[in-house]
Amino acid sequence: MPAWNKELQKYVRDGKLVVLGIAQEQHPQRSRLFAQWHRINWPVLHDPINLMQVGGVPVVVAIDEEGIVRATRVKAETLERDFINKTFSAEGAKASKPVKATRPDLAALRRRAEQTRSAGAWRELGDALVLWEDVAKVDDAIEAYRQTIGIRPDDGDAHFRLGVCYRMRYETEQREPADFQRAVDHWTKARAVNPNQYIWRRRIEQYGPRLTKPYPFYDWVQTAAREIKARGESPVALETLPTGSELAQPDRSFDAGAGDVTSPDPQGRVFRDTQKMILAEVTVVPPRAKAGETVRVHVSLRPNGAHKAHWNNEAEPLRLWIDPPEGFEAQPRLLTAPQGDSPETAEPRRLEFEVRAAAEVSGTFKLNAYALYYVCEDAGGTCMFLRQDIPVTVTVDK
Amino acid sequence: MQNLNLLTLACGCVCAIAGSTCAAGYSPRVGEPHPDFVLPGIADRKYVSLSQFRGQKVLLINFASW
Repeated sequence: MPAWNKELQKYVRDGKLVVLGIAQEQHPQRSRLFAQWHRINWPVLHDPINLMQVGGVPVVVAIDEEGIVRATRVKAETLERDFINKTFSAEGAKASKPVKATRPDLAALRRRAEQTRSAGAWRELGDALVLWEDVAKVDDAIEAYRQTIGIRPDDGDAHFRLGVCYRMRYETEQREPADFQRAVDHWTKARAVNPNQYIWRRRIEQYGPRLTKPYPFYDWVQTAAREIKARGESPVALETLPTGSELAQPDRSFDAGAGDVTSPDPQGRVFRDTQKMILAEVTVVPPRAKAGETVRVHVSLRPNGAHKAHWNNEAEPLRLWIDPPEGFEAQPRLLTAPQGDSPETAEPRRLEFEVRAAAEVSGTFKLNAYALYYVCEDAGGTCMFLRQDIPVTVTVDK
Repeated sequence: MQNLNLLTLACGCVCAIAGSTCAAGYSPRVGEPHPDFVLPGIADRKYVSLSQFRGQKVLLINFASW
C-alpha cells in the first residue's frame, strides 16, 4: 500500500481519482498515526468490526462514476490506462441501493430486532451501535451481538464483532473482569466457523504466542513516531499503546532459557494481599492449546481504586514468578515490571509470558504464579510488601 | 508490518453490506454495482458513504497497518 501511495497522491491532487481507504483496525489513533507517517492525503475510514466482511487485506477495488466495479485485481502499472483514462458504459448495470451517511434510527433498529427476533436484525443493531456510538453504547452492542449468537450460534461475523466490543470495553474504565478473555474466546469461535478468515485469525495472533506470529504487528509504531518527529511534526498520540505481544517479534523456537532463575519467595513467607490492594486478571491466548503447543498468558495488575491503592516506585519493582506444572515450560519464569515515572503511580501493569504444554497430555492444568509488589494505601498512606497468588489455568486438547 | 497475499475472491455471492445477513464475505464482482456502505473517518469521525462519490472514479482500498 505505501508503495502505491506516491502515484495515488498524484492522481488525487490532479482530481483524476477519489481514493478511499478502509482501515481494518480497532484503534483509530493507530490508523491516524499510520496515515500521518505515510502522508496519506486521501480519506481513511474506520472499520473496527470488519463491516466490509473482507476476508483479508489489502483488497483494492476500482469503482467507476456510476458505482460499478471495474476491477478487483488492480495493478499500479495499469491503473491509469485501464481505469483512470478509460470510459465505461453503465449500460445494463443496475445501481446499488444508496445508504445515507446520516445517523440511523437506533430505536427503530432495536424495535425491529425485538419484533422480528431475527439474528440479522440484532447484528445490524450491534453494528449501528458500534459505528455510531462507539464505546458509549458498547454494553448495548454486546447485548445485540449476544442476541445474534443466541439465534445463530455459527455467525462468525457476530462472534468477531462481539470480541471487538469486549476488547473495546476492556480498554475503558467500564471494563468487567474477563472482558479480554471473552474477546479472545469469541475471536476463537469466529475462527472455528471459518478458519480461513484472515482478519479473524490475525486478531488472535496479535495477542498470541510468538511461535504462531506471522510478523510483529505494531513494531512500526515506534519507527513511525521517530520519523514523524524527525520531520518536525508531532506524531498522533496513541490512547492505547501496543502491548508486549503486539510488539513481539515472531520466534520459531520455544526457548525456556537457562534454569538458573529461582523463586523469589520459595517458602511463601511474604504476606498475602488479602485486602486485594491489587486486582489481578489473567487472559490466555489462544484459550485452548493442543498438546505440545504454546499459549501466551497476559497478566494485568491494577491498583484497587476502592483502596486508593498505588505503586510505590521508590522500592523494588513488581515481580511475577511462574511455576509450570510437570512437563510444561514457561518463558520467562521471572518477570519484572517497569516502574512508574514518579514515586507514586496507579497505572495498570501488564506482564506477559508464554507456556508450552507438555506433549501428549490433555485436560486442565494449573500453573502456580505469584506476584510480589510494594503497594501503598491512599496518598501518603501505609506501604506494604505483598504477595498475590495468581491462578493461571491452561486447557490442553489432545 | 507484512507483505500479504491478496485474498481470494472466490465467493460467488454478492453481499449488500448495508443490511446484509450474508455470511459469505466481501466479494465485489466486475460489472456489478459495489454495495454502498457508511463508515466514520479515522481523524474526525465524519461519516462517509461510497455513494456520495457518484460521478467520480473511486479506488477503494481495504488495508491494515499491521
